[in-house]
Amino acid sequence: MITVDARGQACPEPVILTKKAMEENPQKSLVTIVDNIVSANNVEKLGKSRFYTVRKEERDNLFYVHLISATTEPEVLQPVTKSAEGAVMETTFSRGRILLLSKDYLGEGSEELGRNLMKTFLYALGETYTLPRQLLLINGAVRMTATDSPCLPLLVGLAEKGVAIEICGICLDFYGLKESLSVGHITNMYTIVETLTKEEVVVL
Amino acid sequence: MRQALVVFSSYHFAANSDTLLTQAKVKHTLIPTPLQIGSFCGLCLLVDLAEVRQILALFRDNKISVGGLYEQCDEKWQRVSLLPYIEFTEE
Repeated sequence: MITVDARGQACPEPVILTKKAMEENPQKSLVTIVDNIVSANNVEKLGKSRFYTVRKEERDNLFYVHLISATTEPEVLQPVTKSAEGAVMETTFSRGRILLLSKDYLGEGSEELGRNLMKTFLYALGETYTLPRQLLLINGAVRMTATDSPCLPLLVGLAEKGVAIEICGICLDFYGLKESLSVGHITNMYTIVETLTKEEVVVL
Repeated sequence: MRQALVVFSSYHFAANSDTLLTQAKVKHTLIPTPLQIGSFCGLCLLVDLAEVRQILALFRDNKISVGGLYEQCDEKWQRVSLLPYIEFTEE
């Protein structure tokens, strides 16, 4: 077991150190020790994206993220079932489909129209049987997580249905929304870059 | 809780109604008009049926024209008359 001691390191350093240890020790299991939950979550995400089995534990104000090396391919996400009009229908998680939102309005032209379109888009997204795997919010899109945003309940609804809402930490800082975040998880630029370069992403 | 859909003949009525109800702190959701109903302006409001009377009064006072009202029956939207929800005032 390789130990990555990232105590006292600010994000994204724990992710970088863990990533380096993974690359230097392929096929080996690791444990990364961090002292804050945001770093622990980001290391967890890194592990999952690289198909490690991840177990997180908290002891003495420290977080131990155990990354167990996988010898087999990960299981495909199991679809959940949803009853509609008496029939059992499948909700399909498009495993590779990630939506990148970079502003809180949809399309170009009138921002006022775009904001209304975004609300209806998120509502319709929650009604579809083909949910995206993840919504990645950067720049102006993070304003949709503000407590007074009409989009917040729609994002909460999507999160409750299993859609991962990943939000850029730099952007939350910039807009002063980090402390009041009530949906999704904070992510960093390294994870965002990894996602954009490895996954099938739809940019909106 | 039973819900209702308020549809509009133009985008601007729908957008203004959304702003108005937000300011009045009336619970509502601006949603794309369900395909079953037709297109109208493409946007409509999902509201609590119990609040339709109050909502229509607000629209009347703010000169927002309503295209129709739908109630949910057996998972489907059924058009209903606006009359039972309108308060008539003496001029």
